[in-house]
Amino acid sequence: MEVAKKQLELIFKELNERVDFINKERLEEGGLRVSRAEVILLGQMSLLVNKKVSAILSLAQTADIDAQLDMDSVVKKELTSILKKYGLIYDEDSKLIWIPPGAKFEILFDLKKVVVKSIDPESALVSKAVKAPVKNKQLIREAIASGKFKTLIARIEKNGGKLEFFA
Amino acid sequence: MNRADVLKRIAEKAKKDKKFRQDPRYLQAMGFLVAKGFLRTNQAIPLLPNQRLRLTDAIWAGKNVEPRILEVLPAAVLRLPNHFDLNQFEHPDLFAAIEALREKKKGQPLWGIPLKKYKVWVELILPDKRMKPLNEKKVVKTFRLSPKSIEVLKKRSKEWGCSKTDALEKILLEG
Repeated sequence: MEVAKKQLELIFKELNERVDFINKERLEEGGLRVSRAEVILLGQMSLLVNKKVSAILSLAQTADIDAQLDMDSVVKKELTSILKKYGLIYDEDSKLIWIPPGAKFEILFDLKKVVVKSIDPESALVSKAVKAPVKNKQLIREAIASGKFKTLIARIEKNGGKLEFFA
Repeated sequence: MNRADVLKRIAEKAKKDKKFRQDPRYLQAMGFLVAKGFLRTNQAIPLLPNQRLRLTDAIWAGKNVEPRILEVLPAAVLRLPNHFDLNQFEHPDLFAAIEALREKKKGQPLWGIPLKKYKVWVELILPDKRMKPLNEKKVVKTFRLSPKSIEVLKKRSKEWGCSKTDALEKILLEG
């Protein structure tokens, strides 16, 4: 979904600028620069920003962002405040999200101070099917029925998911 | 059921899900919740910001088509009560959940969703700036002020180019 991706681009560009500003201030005060931040999008947002997947699946999303963050606390504070401005909330439970073995991460935005990656769609679906099947029942059915995710069924079963649950 | 049967049933149910996504109950609930900013979607759904929803229909859509509808529904009903037909006797669990949100009390899970998860949407900033999060909504209070205080308020509001309420708030908060 292009709208979601464009909005994310605006958000992370703003974060990039703010980190730049923080670094300039710190430099003037003789402090240490903050390190480059890394964001890995998980969950529904990782599917929504993927054009191919968005064309296959019917997606709905609440206003929370699931993501693994590797950043200084001051940068996280800035990110939370930018997200709020855009009507989004960072889900603090994101660290509990299970990432299935074999997951790949592709770069979405490679900015000077922030790099944003996204989990591959099939792995996002496997994670949902195994750990949150109730909330994602219809989504997983649609993904399986589409036949577009070649190893989805095998990976769900291999990781302890119950295919019968979706039948 | 063998594997082939399971896959066949999944395909059948996926077809049924697709049909359900054309159901007016789903389209109305999604059209409203997306228009108000509680949900986002990649589906071409007509936005219905002025829609009044039957809770029975919205709950059906949440249980049968898109479970995320259920997650935001309590906060949506609390913040936009005029758009729903909430009835304590028809939906006692939802009513109790909304009361818990309003009173900031401990509440029970609703439709299997813990309070922590559906509480978040009460404070969400929505695109429609007229709808303030619950913690920012103004509360009516009546005070009997002396004529001298009223004069000061009038003077300050004129000076600062704001309403008397804003002037009073400024004095209270900024000293």
